[in-house]
Amino acid sequence: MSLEVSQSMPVENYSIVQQSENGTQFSPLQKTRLRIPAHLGYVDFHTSYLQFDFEIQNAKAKMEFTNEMGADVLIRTWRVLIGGHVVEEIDHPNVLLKTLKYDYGMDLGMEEVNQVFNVQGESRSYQGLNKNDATIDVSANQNPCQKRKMILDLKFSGIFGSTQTFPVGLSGDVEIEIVWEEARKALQVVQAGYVPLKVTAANNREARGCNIVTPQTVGAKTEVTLLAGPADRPNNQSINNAEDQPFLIGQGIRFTGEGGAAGANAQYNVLSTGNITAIAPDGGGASKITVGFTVAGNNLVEGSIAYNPAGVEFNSTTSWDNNGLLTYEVSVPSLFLQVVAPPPQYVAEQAQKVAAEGLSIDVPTYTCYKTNTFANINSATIDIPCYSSRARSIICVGVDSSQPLGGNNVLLNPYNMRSDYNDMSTYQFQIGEHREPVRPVDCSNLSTFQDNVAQEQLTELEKALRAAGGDVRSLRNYKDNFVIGRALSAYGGSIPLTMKGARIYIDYLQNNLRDDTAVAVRAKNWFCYCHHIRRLTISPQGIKMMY
Amino acid sequence: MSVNDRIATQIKRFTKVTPSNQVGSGVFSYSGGNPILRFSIAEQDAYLLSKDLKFQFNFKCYRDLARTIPIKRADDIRLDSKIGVQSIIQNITISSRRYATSICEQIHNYNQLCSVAHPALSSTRDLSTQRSHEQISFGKGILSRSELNQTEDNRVASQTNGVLLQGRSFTSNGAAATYNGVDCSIQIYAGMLLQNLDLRLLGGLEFEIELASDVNVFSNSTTTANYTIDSCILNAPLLYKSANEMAQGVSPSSFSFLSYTSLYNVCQSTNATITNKVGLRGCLSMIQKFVPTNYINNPAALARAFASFCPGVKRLVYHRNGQRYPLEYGIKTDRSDGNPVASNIVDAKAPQVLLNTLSAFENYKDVKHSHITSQNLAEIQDNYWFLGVSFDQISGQGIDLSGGTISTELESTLELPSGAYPATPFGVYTFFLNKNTLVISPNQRIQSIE
Repeated sequence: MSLEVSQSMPVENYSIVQQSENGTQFSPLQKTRLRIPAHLGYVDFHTSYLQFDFEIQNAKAKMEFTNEMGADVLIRTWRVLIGGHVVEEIDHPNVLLKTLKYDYGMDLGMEEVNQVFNVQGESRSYQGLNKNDATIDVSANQNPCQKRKMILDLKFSGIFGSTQTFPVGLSGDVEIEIVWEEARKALQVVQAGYVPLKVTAANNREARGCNIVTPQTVGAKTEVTLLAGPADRPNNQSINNAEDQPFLIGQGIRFTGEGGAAGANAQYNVLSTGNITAIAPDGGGASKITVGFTVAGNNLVEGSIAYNPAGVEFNSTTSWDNNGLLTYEVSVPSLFLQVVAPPPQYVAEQAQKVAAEGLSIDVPTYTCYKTNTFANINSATIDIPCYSSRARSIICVGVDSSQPLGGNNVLLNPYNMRSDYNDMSTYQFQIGEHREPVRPVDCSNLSTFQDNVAQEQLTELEKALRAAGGDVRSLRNYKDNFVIGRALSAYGGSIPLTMKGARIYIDYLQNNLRDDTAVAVRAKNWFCYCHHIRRLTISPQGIKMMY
Repeated sequence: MSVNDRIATQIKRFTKVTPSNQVGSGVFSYSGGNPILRFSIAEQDAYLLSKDLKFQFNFKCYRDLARTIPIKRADDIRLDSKIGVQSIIQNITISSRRYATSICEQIHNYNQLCSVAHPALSSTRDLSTQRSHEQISFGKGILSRSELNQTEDNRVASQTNGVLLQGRSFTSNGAAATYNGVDCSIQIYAGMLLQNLDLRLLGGLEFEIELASDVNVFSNSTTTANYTIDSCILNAPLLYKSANEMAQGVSPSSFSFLSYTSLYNVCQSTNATITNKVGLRGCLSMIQKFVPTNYINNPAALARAFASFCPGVKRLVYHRNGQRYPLEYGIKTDRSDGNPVASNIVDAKAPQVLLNTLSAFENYKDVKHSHITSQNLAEIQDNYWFLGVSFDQISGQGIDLSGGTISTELESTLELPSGAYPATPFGVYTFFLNKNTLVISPNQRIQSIE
């Protein structure tokens, strides 16, 4: 509905719930099947959505979703079948959504709204996926994560993104299959307890994690007090209560900073030999907390944290993925569907149309073509074997394929779905025999210290994202998520790639523009999404698909 | 920007309408005994461009009932952060001038409707820019991206809630002789004003604005704080009809418009059904806002009557005539019994409840900006949480409630806004958005058919 007087035909509509048909609990890489039965008649997918309960299991720390994403990161594969025909099949829609929705499609206001529905962004204490409880002891296998309800709008899907009412009564059952993403790609330990918090003034050195109050009392030290710092970075700010800090009882911690026994400017990096034994609000005020821990004769800690600045971070030697046991559970995934009951005359007219000439429905969707480029090769070709008859746009995301997965990487190097710039010099598409644009797109400007903008690349990118159904509302991540794109037609049109396909020629700089040293090209997994339209025709003989 | 070579056939003019019941100095106030303003817009061959209609006035705030001591900065007198001076309007009535008995829309507790409707589709930044100049509102929430990923408590602390009257409100700092007040220009939020209105067809329009009690407006325990408004104007942009349109004349015609209808209930039980019989034939959506009853008309409550509180909803079902509708299922949240600490309000984020709340205005997938955000839901004391449901997501024609009832079955904790037990009664402000159709016989009568 909208806040305007409508002149549309009145139709009765109501919302129903349809649960998954192959179980109620699902783990990573398992498949969930949902069925929208034909007896519903007509369904408005634009007002329908998916809801499920989500709980992280076997966690050894407070957790959050990777890539600053919401629950969209959990969808590894999305398939829609109508009458046995595959209408949509999108591999890795989460990688696509990272670009299309999260990095380029949202402004601050949209991020706020998305946090409510599917817990986007930093997952802090009770705000996100974790319990509001500072007494949880992970060494006793207590789960710090709580069950949360998630809602996915599924707007990336051509079926769910359509504003047209869909006649499931004429098309037959609509089946949906979702494969859930691996935990090691979708989850990470809260980074507030690890990422760099600042560069120290004296030597431009990094401290990590949370600031601690310095100087701490020197002596038989059993506790440290976290600093109530300025609120300018996620992990460098005032912590007002015990539940808001990233640590838990039973975790090992590490001190970093500069100073200590080796001199005021020496860097140190010291592990606590024991685990945190208690977390409590600081007695001196509401803005500090005290982390109690055991230091077995480790006087280095005492000496080190007597100097400023100092940080406390997660101990990276702990098995943060719980020796591979870290997982999650999706329970009771359910589609909430808006059923529409048009007048009988309308239904009869549509049935007649199906019998006479067939009813055609356009479904804009994506197909993912995966390929690789290799390390240390500065000139490469990406083949996109897409032969769709109505293609609109191509979006290519080059994810660093050398990323280690699992183990302590859920803390140290969480899986990054962004496209890696890696000092690319130029790229150029080829559609059939034609090179597009006529000259290669120069993106070497990004290689500078200042991260200068490559204007042509930015223009090409915005055109491609819009043609791919994206609503471009932010270009802040033009370098952090360096996506290669090409709009194949203007004004929402499409072109045939039949017998043509597409390929991209990419070249990397020999030397970067920062310090003129040789560029080390990394190996990449290229997720190339072609946005195209499929035509579904419902006739008395059944369903026909035009690809 | 482009060259427009079309020939203008219609003239647009901004007309300034003064109150028809203005006396003497033109000062209106609740406590001063002149709390009603009437504006008449004459019948003429023009359309009222309703979305641009502005109610303009000079707002002054005093510490004493004799109105000799203007407020000072140190008085710490505040308005609601989301609606600002919109809170001074208690009721609004829009009717036809010619067909004098025909009330087109009457909104009781207009300021309560405004306190949920305005921010529902606006972010804090939206309200703190244009609306700040218009109605002294600031919005509630964070203002920059760097505040987005703070800890929960910090985000709450960063909210620009409880807006202090801005500097221009007390430029004289208590000196009556130089007190100029604040010029405001507010957009009136009413269903009828969501579309342009044919003033010839409707026989002109009559607006009646009733001012709100002082004790509900200010966030300060000073019981003598009061306000006045003067230099009141209804700034009405008119688009005059073209010669062709005037030549066609006015024939018996129907006219459709939206309107809000308001009701008030009290919810006293943790397991309650709020039932209304509204007699509407094209009901599009329903909004329900909860406020502890002891916060209403209570200056000690610091004007929190315009905050929207979560009564601790555990289960929610909507019924039409005793049957589940429009949701054929109950919404179950993760909230449980027990006494949640003030900061542990995660259950208030039950996303399915909030999704339906937004759908009372717009499909939630189309909502780009809203005050329904994590940090605004995190604080019990001054929350932004209300219930809503759309009865017709598709056609915009609404459902017929003329012969039956609509009910909200609610299982909740009804905890105090401090997050503590025991349960407290909540006042429930209910607003229905309705599509109306009028059949108008020129110079004869006006008749509602829906």
